[in-house]
Amino acid sequence: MNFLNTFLAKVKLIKEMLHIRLTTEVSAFNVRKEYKMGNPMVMFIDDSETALASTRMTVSSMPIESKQYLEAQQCLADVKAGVVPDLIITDLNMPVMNGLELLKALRELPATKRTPVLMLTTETKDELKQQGKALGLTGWIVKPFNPTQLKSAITRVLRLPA
Amino acid sequence: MMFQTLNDLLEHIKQVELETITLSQEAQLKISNFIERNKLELDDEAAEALQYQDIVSQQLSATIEAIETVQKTLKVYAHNFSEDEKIADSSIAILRKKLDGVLETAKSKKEAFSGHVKSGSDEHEIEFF
Repeated sequence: MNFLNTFLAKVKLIKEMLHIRLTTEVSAFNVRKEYKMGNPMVMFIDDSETALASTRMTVSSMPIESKQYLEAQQCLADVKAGVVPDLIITDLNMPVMNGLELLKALRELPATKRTPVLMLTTETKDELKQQGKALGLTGWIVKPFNPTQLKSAITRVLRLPA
Repeated sequence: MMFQTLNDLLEHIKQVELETITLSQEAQLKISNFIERNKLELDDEAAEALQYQDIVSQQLSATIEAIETVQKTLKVYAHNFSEDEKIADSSIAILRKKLDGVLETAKSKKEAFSGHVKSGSDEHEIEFF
């Protein structure tokens, strides 16, 4: 009887472990399916709602999935939670965490160590561009951007069909 | 008394600027929503013009920051002035230095937040590293 109870307890434990494992794998698969099997995902970060509206309108006709953030920390939290972008386009001057700080943090995460990052900013200082370059920045776009040129920059970085 | 008037004037300018930012942002978002809702296609020139609100906001925010710094500095000076004239004398040199610094910072921010608008050029800057 004692042996039977121990056996049943072990079966229950294994069943629970298997269930947890299966659930984790299914949700991980959904994340991959959502962001890796459809259109490439581009994250836009800007503390200005109107700037985000402009980029959203510009890329609406492109074969990409766009995700927008008013705070860099929120983008970072999503990446840490397993959302893996194919391209990140960020503003530089933002409160709490600026574009360069975000870039540094992204480079420290395995998932975004090599993800292309473009800076979209009003800043034109060479010193800032060099700081970005040293952190592994892919490119620098000066605002106000030309929509055709922004789209071709995204097409080029993501290697989309022209 | 004079400091109070000066502070009130700065506060008024600050409030006008804040309201300008809010109003222009609301107007911009309404236009953007209308464009998106009706799936209107803008040409490059119009799409670029829509981004000017963001630049105007950044410029005004930078001057608001400058005004707030000047207000704080004036407050310190006004306090010293009422306490002791000797302290006030030395404080005026500090005040002047501080105000010069605020002006320099404000000017550099104007430059930084202009993008390529300041050059008046149609050339756009996209640089790959």
